[in-house]
Amino acid sequence: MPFKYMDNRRELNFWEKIYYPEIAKGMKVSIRHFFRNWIGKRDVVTKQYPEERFPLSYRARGRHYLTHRSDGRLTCVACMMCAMACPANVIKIEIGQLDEPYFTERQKIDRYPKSFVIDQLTCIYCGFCVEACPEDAIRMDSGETMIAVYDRKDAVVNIAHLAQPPKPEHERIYNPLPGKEPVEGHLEMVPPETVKNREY
Amino acid sequence: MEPIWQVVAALVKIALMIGFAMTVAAVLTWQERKQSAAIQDRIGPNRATIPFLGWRLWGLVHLAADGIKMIFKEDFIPVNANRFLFQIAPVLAISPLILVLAVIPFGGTVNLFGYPIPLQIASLNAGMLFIFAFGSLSVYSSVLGGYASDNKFGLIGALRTGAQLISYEVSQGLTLIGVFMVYQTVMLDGIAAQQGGAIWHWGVVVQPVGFLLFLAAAIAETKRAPFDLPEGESEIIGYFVEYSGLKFGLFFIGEFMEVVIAAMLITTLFFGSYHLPWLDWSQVELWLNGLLGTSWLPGLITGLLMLGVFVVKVLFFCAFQLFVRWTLPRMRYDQLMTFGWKFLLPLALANVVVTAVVLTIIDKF
Repeated sequence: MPFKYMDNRRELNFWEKIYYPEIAKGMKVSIRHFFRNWIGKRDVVTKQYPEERFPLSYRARGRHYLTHRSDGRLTCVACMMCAMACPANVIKIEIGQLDEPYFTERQKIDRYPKSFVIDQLTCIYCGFCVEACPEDAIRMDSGETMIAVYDRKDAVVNIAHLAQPPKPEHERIYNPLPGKEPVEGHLEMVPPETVKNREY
Repeated sequence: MEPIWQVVAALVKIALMIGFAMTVAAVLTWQERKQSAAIQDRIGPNRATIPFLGWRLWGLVHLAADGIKMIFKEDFIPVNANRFLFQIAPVLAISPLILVLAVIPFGGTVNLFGYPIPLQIASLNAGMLFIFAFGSLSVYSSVLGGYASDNKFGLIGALRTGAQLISYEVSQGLTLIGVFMVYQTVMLDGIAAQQGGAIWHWGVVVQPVGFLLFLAAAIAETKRAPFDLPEGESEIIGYFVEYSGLKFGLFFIGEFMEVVIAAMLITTLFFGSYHLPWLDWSQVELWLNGLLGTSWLPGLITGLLMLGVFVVKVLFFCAFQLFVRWTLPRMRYDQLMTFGWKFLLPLALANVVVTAVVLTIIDKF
């Protein structure tokens, strides 16, 4: 097929060819925006991260956490469905079986996770483990999407870490160095609704 | 006046002028970011804080932060670079601009202790020609900077800069010939003095076409958008690719110095310099003399008022240039050359001819 050069641009008229009137029109737009944002209503689109954030979707997948039963034990029955479903193969569960003398036969069948390890860096956050779980024991709706660690091995989390319930929204990011408090002002964590300094 | 006091007066004027130009150039780096942010519905820099106080000062602290950053960056020189030329290029970028400040008047003549003191560092009879001569020296800085850094992108940027600046210098000179013809002088203090009184003495009224053409040529000389082909920060890499630290800082501040000087020239040549319409500064000084008695005070107050008017006008045109820079997209290279040689130059020549004819007619009748 022969190449056909298409030029759909129309011919400029005289006032457009001498540049200046068109430049004045463009300048008008700039100046209007400038004065509106400077002294008028400030409709800026910038979010003052990290003080201000966009709200997460209710379907956002974040840090995994394990749910608890009403008596405080973990819901997980160590059925290994999540580990099977995991495409990245990052869930490592060690099965434990309770064997107390007062247990009934039915209770002796119950299993529990002795250890539950997830490598958060290798995880692809696909959510298959959540879908595979028959007991609603593992969830990813914690909203903690910004996971920061100071060492790669800190990202491999154990059952104690996974059993922690999701943090409230204003505590979600900035893991300070171990044994150090967040620095005043700089790493200060402010709930988004209290942000006052949308300053210029 | 005794020589010693002449020296003192000159030193004070030099300090005023350099202090003003450098301060405005530094603040312009902040203003450009804030102004562009406001134009584009953003917020702009506001994160740098003064330690322990937590003041942000609308992002002004970023000036100090940038300076400190540049001082502590590695002063990198490429292995195969020509070391001498590489080192001297940033100096050449800024020293002609400081020299140019010498002939720009920031006020008329005031009387201090009975001596007339012109508020201009040097009243050269070459005037504007001196500015053209030293302004064109800044081409060397970019050409040498690109050539000496042994980098093919730097070299291409240097070539682009050379072609652009030389093209637009021709137009810049020709657009001003109309002004020289009207005011019969190339001395900037002479041109400024003749713009006093009624507003139709201003250059922009007697030379409107000359003003528009000079504006385009002057913005092209500052190497900023829409004529920023020498640099093109984001994509086309300019002549100072290999520069880092304070050497880059000199190029950077030099660009803003050029903005300030362009604003000063526009003010001086076309917008009445230190004059306000229908206000005679010598009358103001006489009136203050009657009010305060004959001492150094009326002269000082008048001088400061003239300086204030000049400064406000210069700041206005600095902001105007920033608006232009954040409004217009970059030109293609062929558009740049077409605009320079086929639009500005013929119109500048036509402006000279028309001005000459009109002046002759006015002279004869």
